[in-house]
Amino acid sequence: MPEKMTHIPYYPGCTLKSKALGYERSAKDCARVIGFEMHDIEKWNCCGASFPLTKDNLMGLAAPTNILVEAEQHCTERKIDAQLITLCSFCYNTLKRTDFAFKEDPGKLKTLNEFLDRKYHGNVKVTHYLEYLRDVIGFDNLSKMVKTDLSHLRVAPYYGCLLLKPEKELGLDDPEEPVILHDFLDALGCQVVDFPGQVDCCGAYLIMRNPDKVLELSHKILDEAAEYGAQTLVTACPLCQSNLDQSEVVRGEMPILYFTQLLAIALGLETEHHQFDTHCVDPKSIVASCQKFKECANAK
Amino acid sequence: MQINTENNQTALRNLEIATGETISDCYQCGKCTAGCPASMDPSPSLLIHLLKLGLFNQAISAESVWDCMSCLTCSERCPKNVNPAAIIEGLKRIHLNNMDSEINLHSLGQEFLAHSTQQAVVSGFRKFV
Amino acid sequence: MLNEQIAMVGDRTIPPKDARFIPIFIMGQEYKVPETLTIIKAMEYAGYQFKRGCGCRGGICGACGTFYRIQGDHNLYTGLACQTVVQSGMVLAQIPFFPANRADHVDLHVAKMPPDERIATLYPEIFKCVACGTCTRTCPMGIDVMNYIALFKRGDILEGAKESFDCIMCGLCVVRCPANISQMKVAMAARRLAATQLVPRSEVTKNRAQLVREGRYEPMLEKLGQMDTEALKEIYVSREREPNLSEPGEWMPQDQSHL
Repeated sequence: MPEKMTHIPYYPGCTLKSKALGYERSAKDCARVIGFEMHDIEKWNCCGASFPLTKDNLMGLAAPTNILVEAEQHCTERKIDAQLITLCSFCYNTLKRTDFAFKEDPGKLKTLNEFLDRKYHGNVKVTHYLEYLRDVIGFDNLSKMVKTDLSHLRVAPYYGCLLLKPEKELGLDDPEEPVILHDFLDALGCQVVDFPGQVDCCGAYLIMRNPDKVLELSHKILDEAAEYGAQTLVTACPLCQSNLDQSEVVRGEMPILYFTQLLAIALGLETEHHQFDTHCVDPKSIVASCQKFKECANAK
Repeated sequence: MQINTENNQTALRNLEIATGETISDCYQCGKCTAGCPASMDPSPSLLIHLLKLGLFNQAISAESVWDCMSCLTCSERCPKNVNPAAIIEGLKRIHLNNMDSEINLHSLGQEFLAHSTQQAVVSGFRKFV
Repeated sequence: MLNEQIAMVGDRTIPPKDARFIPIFIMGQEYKVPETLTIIKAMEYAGYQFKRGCGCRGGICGACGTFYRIQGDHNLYTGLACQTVVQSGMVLAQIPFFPANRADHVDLHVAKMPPDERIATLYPEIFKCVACGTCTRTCPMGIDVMNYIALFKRGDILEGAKESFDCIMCGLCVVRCPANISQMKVAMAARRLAATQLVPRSEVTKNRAQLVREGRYEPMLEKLGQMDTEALKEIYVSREREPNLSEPGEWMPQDQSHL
């Protein structure tokens, strides 16, 4: 373990503080082992979840701007590089696109600074946890830290929409044929199930208006994953997790995990408080199978 | 053959200004429709076609605008750099700005509000209420 | 020019002898009032009588919320009329009442739902907040209203209840909210939920309430009820009192027969 942890400002987002606590806890625990510490920024509000697509909707940018201001202050006070790490795809998308919108049109930033009576200088680099693992830690280094044998596990990576699109603004990976989660799973040593539904939409907020449609779309994704032999599916978005998980209860028995939960298992951490039990489809069997292999390896 | 008797050039221009898109750029290749996971009907390309024909009222009253879940597949695949998702959101916002919301807040069940993730509720409220 | 001898009704406003007269605008009408008065006294000076929109006059009841602008300044200011001193060119609008949505929380205490879900079901409109921050800038008590709404959204009811603790329910945030949220009502429900379900229960209070329920104090009350006024006065004056600065739990009365 490195002697001094890198201090990384972190924006949690509402869902990660309540419905997806396991995602946040596992991510923070893993970060500590990998060598960086995620610190919540002091004061934060909901990011607004969906980035306003119409150009004239400046009001939708108010919430993310507030967060960027807070992050910038957090970093200035500590004299560190202005950056912000996120876990939720929605938050990542909204914050990063807001920052991009300001870079593209400084007039917008001026208007919002005046409206909010705050000052965002446009310096914050918004990063996703996965992006940080890939670009700063490196998947090669990550694979060296793996302590659990996951080679028996067939895992389907599910990206969803907002982690990747629009590519021009997020630049995380290719929106049609992404590899970042594939590489991540590879580094953990599990078998990656490359399935066609990995970038299809799960139905997202349509759950509010038309839950049947969400069920249909999620079923399609889960069917494809199962058809390609996946035992479990990992995602980076709490809404995808919730939609897929609720559909899976009706469909089958494939647990839907957050990628950090799997990472925590791989790194051999205590996973008791990672809230596996709040998932609709109980991932107990998956968790148990991994621990067994770990014990075997230790015995040898 | 249908003759357009509507005169909605102002409305169309306002929509273009609001969304920042150039609707006339669309050449109706249909890639957006092909990729649409919501299988919108009328489809995104048809909605844009209606707008191009000046049939603004038909486009805005289409039920399918509410089916869009802003997954941005259409926007990502458009070869002409038109953003159908933004145009659809522009149409939604015209309804919402007139206090004509798609979902009655109090018809949402307790069960849904208590157990769904915040991001679903927040996004839903942004798009439907 | 108004004469300073003119009827000073209400709370006996007596302006200083050499007070200057400054113009203020009430419902668009200009009045000349002595400086140094609070808004409420200035309005009474100008001849208004308050039957509503005025309560404690001490900055606590929240009845006299006021919006005002200063002529030539685009900003909209807020204040409590009983606490804000008039300034020259002040244009006033009293907001004694503003419609706010109070969800039906009759079953607040019996519901088994956890507090965060309870707030989400009672007041789903909080999820429409765009974090514009107008409420925070509006609050005459200096509460970070936007922050407590943000806390409720993420399910942190206890912190939100603490953040909103100074709220006096004047309703000025409700007036300004573009998302039609009734912040003060949400916060009130949250404080109630926090108090009933989230804050640790005090053993002492519980035990004492039990004693009350068992009728421990009924005979003492009855005895008091039978005493005449003079005798009551006497025991009131001669009662033992806890010294002002004594540490909690340190002081005990000599006569412990009533505990």
